[in-house]
Amino acid sequence: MNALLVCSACGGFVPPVVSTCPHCAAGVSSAPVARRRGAGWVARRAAVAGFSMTLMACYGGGPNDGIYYTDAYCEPGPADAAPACETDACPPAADASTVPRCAPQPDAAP
Amino acid sequence: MTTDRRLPVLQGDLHPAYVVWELTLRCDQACRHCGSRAGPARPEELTTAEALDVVSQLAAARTREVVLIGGEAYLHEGFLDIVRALRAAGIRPTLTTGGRAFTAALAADCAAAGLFSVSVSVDGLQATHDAVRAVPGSFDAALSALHNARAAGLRIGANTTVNRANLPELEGLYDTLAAAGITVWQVQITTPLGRAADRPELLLQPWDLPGLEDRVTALKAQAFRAGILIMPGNNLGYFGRGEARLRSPSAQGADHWLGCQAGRYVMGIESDGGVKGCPSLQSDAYIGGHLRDRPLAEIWNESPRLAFARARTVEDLWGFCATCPFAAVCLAGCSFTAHALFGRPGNNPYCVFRAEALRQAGQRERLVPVSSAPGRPFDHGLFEIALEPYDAPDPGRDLSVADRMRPRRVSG
Ligand code: SF4
Ligand code: SF4
Repeated sequence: MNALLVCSACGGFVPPVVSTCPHCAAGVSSAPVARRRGAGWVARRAAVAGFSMTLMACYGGGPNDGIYYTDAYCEPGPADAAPACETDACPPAADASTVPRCAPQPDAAP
Repeated sequence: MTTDRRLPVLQGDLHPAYVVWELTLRCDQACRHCGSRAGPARPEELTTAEALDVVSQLAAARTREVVLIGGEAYLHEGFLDIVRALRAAGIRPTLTTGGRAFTAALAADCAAAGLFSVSVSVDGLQATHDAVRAVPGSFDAALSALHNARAAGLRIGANTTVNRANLPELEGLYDTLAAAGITVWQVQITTPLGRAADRPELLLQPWDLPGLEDRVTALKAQAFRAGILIMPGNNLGYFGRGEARLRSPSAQGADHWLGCQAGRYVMGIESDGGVKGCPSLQSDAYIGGHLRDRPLAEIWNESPRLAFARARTVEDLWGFCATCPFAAVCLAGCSFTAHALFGRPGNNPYCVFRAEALRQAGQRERLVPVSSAPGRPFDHGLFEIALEPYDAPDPGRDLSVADRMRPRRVSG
């Protein structure tokens, strides 16, 4: 079992395979026994984290005003080049509030 | 002087307790860091009837919670039916959304259908968020979504992927999200997956990680006092001095990273029925089967592609991670993050401990893109590590947000 200790000098975790704390070089003998956890810990932590679990990517959007296209997707291109559309079949924007994905995207300034 | 508190208590009972389900790849935003390159639907997405059958299979597999995502999950015609079915099956349905059209009416429908919570993706303050989303007004829409969800009685949270465009804005973003009434904020780092792989200037460099951890843990202490829980995503952290503060769900907690849970208690479903051990894993390498072809239980139990994290040992690690004193517990951090960099897991430079250890030796690792991604959902390019003096110049440091949004192809 790869149980970890806690360094009493810096509070960092210390693996059992080392003789000094990998964070602050304090002796491992100073490490106290860490608090014991009950058997439900993994499940409880997962339940907490699960509330906001998500991909590490972007997920967003919604079905309004024809602002998504089902038959084409065009990657916004660099500002100084032609848009890098994956297809030339992108429909025009439905109205001024939509995003014309075949046109260069405005690069919003920070 | 050891403790058994880190026993993997569910060992021997591996099951897909937490499932992230991409209902459709259809989306109305063109986010420049989108790992799945969402926009149009996949060619052969599951129908509502097929999705409802999947709900039954999830219940039989003892799934506890399903996070519905996209694209945008509620662009699937059966979204509300699927929420209702999950609830009826005793599975907690939650939604992660960009919120562009999460109207008050939709929020009320979601609440009535039994949706448990909504997490809205917010990736910076207004200008940065809108630049990342490639949609002016997206930030305001995201905040409206939070408001609408809360008004409908849903629990609300937010999630943010941190990169060099929004890194300076974390504290301001926390203030904004706290004022919106969130109770949970998940913070992770942008990984070179999908469209983010096309924009290497957007990505953090490994030496950014210790400072990020310090700031997140400081915010977390502040958030506890406000009744808000900040949790790191699976690709942020790893055994810095602040690991317990970063990863514990309570102020006095002593929790730490336990290794990748892909195919152990986590499972991802793509909208065409592809099943993988984690929703963020690269499709080409990790899809273990399709629900139109095989039952879920068979894919879970028999596919080697879902089992890679079940038997992983230190022997599977390489590079710095193979020599790390935390290797046996950590097993190289997040698998999809490492795979996104090097085309295989087992060595992860996005690590606080590693960056600190190198800094103490006067060094740091720079990620250098050497090959671009082909342009498919959940794809990746390739990077190499350049070891350099800690105080070497950082040419990407002062780029504008607009510069970071531009795709850059590299040969290879
Ligand atoms: S160097 Fe690798 S094994 Fe060690 S803590 Fe970091 S990610 Fe984990
Ligand atoms: S690949 Fe990363 S996000 Fe997915 S389960 Fe493993 S550690 Fe978590």
